[in-house]
Amino acid sequence: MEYIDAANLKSIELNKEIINKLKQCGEVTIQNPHSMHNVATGLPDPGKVIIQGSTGFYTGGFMEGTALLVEGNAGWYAGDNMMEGELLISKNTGCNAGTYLYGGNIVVYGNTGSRVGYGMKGGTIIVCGSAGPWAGQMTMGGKLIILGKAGSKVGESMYKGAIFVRDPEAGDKMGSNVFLDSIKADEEQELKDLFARYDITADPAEFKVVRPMQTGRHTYVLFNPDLKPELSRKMPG
Amino acid sequence: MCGIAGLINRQGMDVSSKLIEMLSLIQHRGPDASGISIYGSAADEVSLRVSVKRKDMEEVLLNIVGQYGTVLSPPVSQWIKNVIFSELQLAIDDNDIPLLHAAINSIEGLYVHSLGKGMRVYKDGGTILDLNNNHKIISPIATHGLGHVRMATESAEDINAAHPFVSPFYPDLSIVHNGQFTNYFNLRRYLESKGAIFKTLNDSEAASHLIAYAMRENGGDLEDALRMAGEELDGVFCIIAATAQQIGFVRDKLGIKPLLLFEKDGLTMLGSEQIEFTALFSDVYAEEIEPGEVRVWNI
Repeated sequence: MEYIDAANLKSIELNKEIINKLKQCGEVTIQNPHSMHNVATGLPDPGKVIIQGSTGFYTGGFMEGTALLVEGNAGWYAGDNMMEGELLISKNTGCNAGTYLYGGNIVVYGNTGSRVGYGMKGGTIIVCGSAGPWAGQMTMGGKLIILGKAGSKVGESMYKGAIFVRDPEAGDKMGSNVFLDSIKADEEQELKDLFARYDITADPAEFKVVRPMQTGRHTYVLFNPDLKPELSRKMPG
Repeated sequence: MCGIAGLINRQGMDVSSKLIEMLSLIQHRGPDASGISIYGSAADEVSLRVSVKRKDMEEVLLNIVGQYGTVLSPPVSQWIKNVIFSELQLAIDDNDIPLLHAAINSIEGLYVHSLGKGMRVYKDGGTILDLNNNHKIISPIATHGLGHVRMATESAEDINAAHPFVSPFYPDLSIVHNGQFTNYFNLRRYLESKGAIFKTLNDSEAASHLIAYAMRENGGDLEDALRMAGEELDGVFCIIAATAQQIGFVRDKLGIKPLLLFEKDGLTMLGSEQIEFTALFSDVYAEEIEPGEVRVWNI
């Protein structure tokens, strides 16, 4: 385990240091992050990074396989455009957590702000607390799981994917072009595995699923994206 | 970007210091100007705070004031950067306050920062540190107030373009705003046709005139005025508005600009970022305001 004191580093210097240390030993702890923006963005390698404290905007954006733990709060756009790996946040996040998520898992153990999982294309986001308005707006794939209270307009204009909600009032807070469905057996199993993996106490049977409607105002030009995230990744070597 | 703050404590507290602490935590949202408005300070007399462009214009100011009321104490004037700032205590009939406000603003080089009973606006260019150094904040025990740090996006950086903004249409009202209006010139034309005198090119000034005009017309209904503002203003915005009796906010329908609410121990706090609330409570999670929402508190 290596330690980095971020007190006197700029985020660009810190991120270079993280990449170096991850190559050397695979596990890094960052101290004194003092809510810095862009911490641990663009990490290219697997490994484990622990941040002891709260972070600012764009924490862990564009990560490709690193497991990142934030022991505190994170600002806006945590896990922005993450490709794969794991982002765990022990407290709350601001808006747009997991925006354009391609793959990997994000777990927010506290609450999250508006537009969580905006335009996500894959991967999984679990919010243990409440979520703000427009959760899963324009989602194109993946799973968004909200254990607490859901904000208004859940799943507004989503194309694909599924939003799992436990809020009994979620049915009254849905966006347009979606419907509330019951959970399927295989989905229940997936949620059960995820909850076990991340130490979350919840019964998958209590969840309902917000899914995109395949009919309605989009019938004549239904956008049906055929996404190939692997093509956007770096070529090996 | 801009950062905003609102604070209510009906029991009364040192609102100005707490607002300044809150704003210090969001200084990164704007270093160009800062300001606070404070309500409910004990003073019974009306206080007038006004920026004066040239020293000789103080004479003009005293002349105008003399036409509407009596100056109770000699003006406390000070140089701040390139403007003189005067504070006067007045005896004036309530009905004459809007007239005096408009009369001062009609003179080039004079600009009212606040005019009201137990209500004061302190604002300045630069950071919170400048505000604190340049102004002596009197009677800090108050019931509520607003705060603002500005990142200039579309008009000059100077003391007059700082928030909070007030309007002669309803002198008691002050507003802070985070955002941009895309229909500024249409609003300005409309408001000028109603008699508004614009002293800056700041779009937030238009919002202050609009809300104040609505309140004058509807008999002082803040909630109604904010709903109207939510409909009429185009763009992305969060506005917190305060009068002696009320604080309220309006957020744009797309929820682009952030606004958070936290209530605990009889305190109501509004702000742009979670970190702001740590000025009063150590570990908080403030509720995000719904897009398009309007809410008003009575003091």
